[in-house]
Amino acid sequence: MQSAVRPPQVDANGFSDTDAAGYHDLYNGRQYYQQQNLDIDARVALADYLDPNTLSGSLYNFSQNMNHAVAIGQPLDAQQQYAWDSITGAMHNIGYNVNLTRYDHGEYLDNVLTGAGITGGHAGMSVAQLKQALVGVEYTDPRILSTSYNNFKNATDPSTFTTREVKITYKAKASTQALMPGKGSGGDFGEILLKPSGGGHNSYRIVDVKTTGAKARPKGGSKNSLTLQQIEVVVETY
Amino acid sequence: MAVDKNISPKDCGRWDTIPGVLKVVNKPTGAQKKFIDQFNAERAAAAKKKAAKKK
Repeated sequence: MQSAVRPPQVDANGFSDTDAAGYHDLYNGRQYYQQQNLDIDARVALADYLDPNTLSGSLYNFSQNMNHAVAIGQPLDAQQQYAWDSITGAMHNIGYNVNLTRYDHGEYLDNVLTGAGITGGHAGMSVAQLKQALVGVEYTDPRILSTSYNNFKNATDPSTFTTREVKITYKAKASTQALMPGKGSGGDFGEILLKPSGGGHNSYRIVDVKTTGAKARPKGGSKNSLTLQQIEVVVETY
Repeated sequence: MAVDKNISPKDCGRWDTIPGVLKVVNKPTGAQKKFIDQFNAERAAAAKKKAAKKK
């Protein structure tokens, strides 16, 4: 007997929630950006979000302040709320099963290890031990999560990212809710924003932990002083 | 470019993670739980031994 197969659901921007292909890279970012047909609210909000300059009276830029407020459960101010609503409201099916990359510091590992029950963080743990502890761990993320579809190849200095201790490779299925913000004033990172977890979308499952074979720097360390092994965490969205 | 400033716990811009922001939603079970419990116990014992040596 043939089983029923649900037909792909295509959203208002023409992005499907299924992709018959396996996970692959995303090409032709310019065309992808245009297909999103972002409205004026989203474009204004993204200009704020991508602005690398610190805000008046603050040590931090707009996205730092907004994501920090969300992370600690602090109410957003009017401008942050407008940006949050406009950006998350414009998100759509990513449309393809794609590979995305993010580089982070050891805090990422410590965060998920603590959640899994490991005390004392990742320092001193072997790759095999990290894999044993983390594969299968599922987590949610309340932030608008920045990733790159092209491994930062057009960034002014990709090594700002690529020498960090943790490489996170996301296997984002086509139904992942996302948005390409375009070329911000901070440079072209090949950026794809993922919607905060919730509403049955964008939760994460760790499926592999390994070494990239590259050397990395500790947080705050110089790019010329690569003293750590770089850990790759492969994460599926679901 | 506002990345990698290494400035206070508020350094959680687009490309940084502050501790505690990610919420693990499943609990390890079976062999994984056993590994985690044993690892924690061994780590605690090693720390205790190190502290005793220092005295």
